[in-house]
Amino acid sequence: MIEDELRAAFARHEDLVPDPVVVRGGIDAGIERRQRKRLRTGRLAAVAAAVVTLAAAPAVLARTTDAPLGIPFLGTQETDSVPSGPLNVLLLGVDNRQTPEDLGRADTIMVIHIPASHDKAYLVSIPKDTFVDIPGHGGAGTSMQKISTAHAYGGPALTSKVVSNLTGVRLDATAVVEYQGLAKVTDAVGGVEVCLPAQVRSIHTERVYPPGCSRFNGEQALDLLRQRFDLRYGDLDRISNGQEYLRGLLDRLTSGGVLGNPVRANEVLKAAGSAIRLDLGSIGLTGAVGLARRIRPADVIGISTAQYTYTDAIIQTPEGVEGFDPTTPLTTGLFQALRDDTLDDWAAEHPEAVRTRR
Amino acid sequence: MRVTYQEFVDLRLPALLRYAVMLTGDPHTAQDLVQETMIRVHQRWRRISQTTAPERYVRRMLTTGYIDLRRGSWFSRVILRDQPVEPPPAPDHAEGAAVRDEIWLRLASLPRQQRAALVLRYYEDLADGDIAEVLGCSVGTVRGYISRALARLRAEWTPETSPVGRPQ
Repeated sequence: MIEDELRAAFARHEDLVPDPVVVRGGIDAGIERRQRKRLRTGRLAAVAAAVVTLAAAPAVLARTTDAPLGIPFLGTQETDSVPSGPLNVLLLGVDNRQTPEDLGRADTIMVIHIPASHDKAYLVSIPKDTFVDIPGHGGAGTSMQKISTAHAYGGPALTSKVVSNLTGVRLDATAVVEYQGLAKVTDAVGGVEVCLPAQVRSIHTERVYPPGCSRFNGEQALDLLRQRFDLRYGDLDRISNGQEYLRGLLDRLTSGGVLGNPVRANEVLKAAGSAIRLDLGSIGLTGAVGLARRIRPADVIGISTAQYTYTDAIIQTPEGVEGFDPTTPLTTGLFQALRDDTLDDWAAEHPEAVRTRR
Repeated sequence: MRVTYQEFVDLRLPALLRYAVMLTGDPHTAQDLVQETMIRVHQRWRRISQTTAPERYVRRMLTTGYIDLRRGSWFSRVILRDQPVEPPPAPDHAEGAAVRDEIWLRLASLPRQQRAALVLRYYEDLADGDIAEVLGCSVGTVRGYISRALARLRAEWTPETSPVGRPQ
């Protein structure tokens, strides 16, 4: 029977199959080649607004990077040496009004976690009212200071130490963004699309932002990012809106052709001015560029544990100040996943804490 | 839980390579076909991983890549070399073995959709409906491919009359 002969012929030739290991090498090499080509043709992916701006014009960055954080500026190199393994970048949002005495509170604290696979970025939000122990303030071991005040006391350095203690992960880099800088960046990219699950009314400007997706200009974006009192879950919704904004910004940076175009990127950087400050730490400039090439806006995933455990996680100081308890099982599980680089699994098991692009 | 690209490659690469060898008849072309396909899979991984059966989607990509070979498709542009798809000449076996390898050699003379249909049924053991999905045609067309291909293999296959060696 011809069919049997055919089956036998196929089976016989299985020894022609090439070695998968060799083929795998060829695939990985091809992927590298393609990503280098993408860099040259100007289509880049992004991790976060602050890190992303590195990809275009390193020389221009010298201005923004010699900031209070004191970064060594590495200069340009041909190869993109991304440090291997999982990476954690601290992103702080500060609503300015800073004086030398008061550095301002960090209203937004996020750990950008890039798993070892380097194919996505998790924006892990830490609510600003999370109670922590701030060394040197409020008495040792009291664990009853709001984490946002760490920046007011000791700037990014102290905040970084506190976040590191809280989560147990080492932070590889830090980015500090002043809200005014975001407003200017928003306008420089021609507005950012943000999708809201429900209507938001601003208590500052009385403006009403409708549910659904709309394009926000700088002033509107700033207004939105500041809102929390009138939102159903207060700061938690503000966090979600902030994550949505970041994703929308990345989208504008890539689809708007900003990153690959040094002239446009320069404009955006100038708009940000000293409002965006970077400490590239152990990742370095070339590492950040390498990462930015691998991760697309669609692979940026928002995480926030307090979202649906709002009442469970609220505790009070003896003085009656309310804040979030970071020792709930959900949050400690999240931090463990950060340490173990198992956020993919954790996110799958806790879909309620995950916000991906709609 | 969604599979990562790396996990998918780890799991599926050996099977995809075997499939590609049966399609192309030659390990080098099979390797190129799989490599180029998986690079494109990596590009589109987010979308692909959200389909109900990524391995089916990827098999479809690979099969289309094979069928479009040497028609000015992305595959030949990327590969940039003019290797023929025909297999190397049959080695000098004893006659029995030579006859058995005849079938393998004759597969190379089939139109690619017909060969793909044969591989999908007689190597991958897929049902006709699944074959139709991979080839992007109707079940009737699949059955047409297979019966015509088998008829060609049968018609040429008489041990006494067929010479050993390369077809044509």
